[in-house]
Amino acid sequence: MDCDTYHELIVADIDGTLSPRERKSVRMHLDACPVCRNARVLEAEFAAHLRRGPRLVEAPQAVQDRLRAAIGSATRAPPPRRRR
Amino acid sequence: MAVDGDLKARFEASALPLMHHVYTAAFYLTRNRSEAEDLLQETYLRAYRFFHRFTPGTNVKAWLLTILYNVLRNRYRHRLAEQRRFDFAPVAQAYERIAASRDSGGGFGDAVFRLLVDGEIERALVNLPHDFRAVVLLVDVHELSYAEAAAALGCPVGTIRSRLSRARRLLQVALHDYAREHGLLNI
Ligand SMILES: [Zn+2]
Repeated sequence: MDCDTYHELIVADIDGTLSPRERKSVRMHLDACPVCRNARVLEAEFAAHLRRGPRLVEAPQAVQDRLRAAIGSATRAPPPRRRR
Repeated sequence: MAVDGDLKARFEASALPLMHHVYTAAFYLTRNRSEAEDLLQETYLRAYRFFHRFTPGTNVKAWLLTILYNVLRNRYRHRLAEQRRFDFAPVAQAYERIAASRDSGGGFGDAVFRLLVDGEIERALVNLPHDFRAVVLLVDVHELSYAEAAAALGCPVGTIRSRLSRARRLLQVALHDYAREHGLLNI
């Protein structure tokens, strides 16, 4: 595996989604590779910042109201086809 | 009828409060407010129509975002396909330079990042190529698991991993460029 692939595992490790076997493989690579050790520090910091990063965008109130009304009056069964 | 009324109440209680999530994703994915409003509407109407298929106890947010992404894919298939080609090599090199300069202060650090956070990370996110933007949104903004994100995008978990790794590098390179241009970093 090259450092590019290890970067995926480093990010996934920070996000807590690696299997024990993959974690071991990452740890062994980090012991041997100073570039990836630096990347690990950058990614850990960045992941923490990202969590506080982009905020949710609120839908305009009028859009919310329209949607609530549409759901309120909607039937869940598919509407019968109208004939002309 | 009683069952249906119950479903409606459950939908209103569990799905409607997540409107801001769906709207945020729709907005970042289309980069356009009126398209986002339209997508929000269609996603919710479809979700409501198929709410009997939702498995109680699973993640409603992930389910809604999956529907959103299906709606989006059906509508913008052509536009999405155009954005697929992307040369990552220069980004990987720029990122390596940042990583290499880390010992001499090349990381962001809390102070620099706080200055950046207002608007700049949003702008960097908006500018990501579509596939990378979608993964960052689902995992980092809406906090879906890798497996949920994979289901929403209809791709393997390995694809989520590789796109996320690249997307985070892309974002850091973009923020780094911005910080350097504005004198927040002297590397
Ligand atoms: Zn390495």
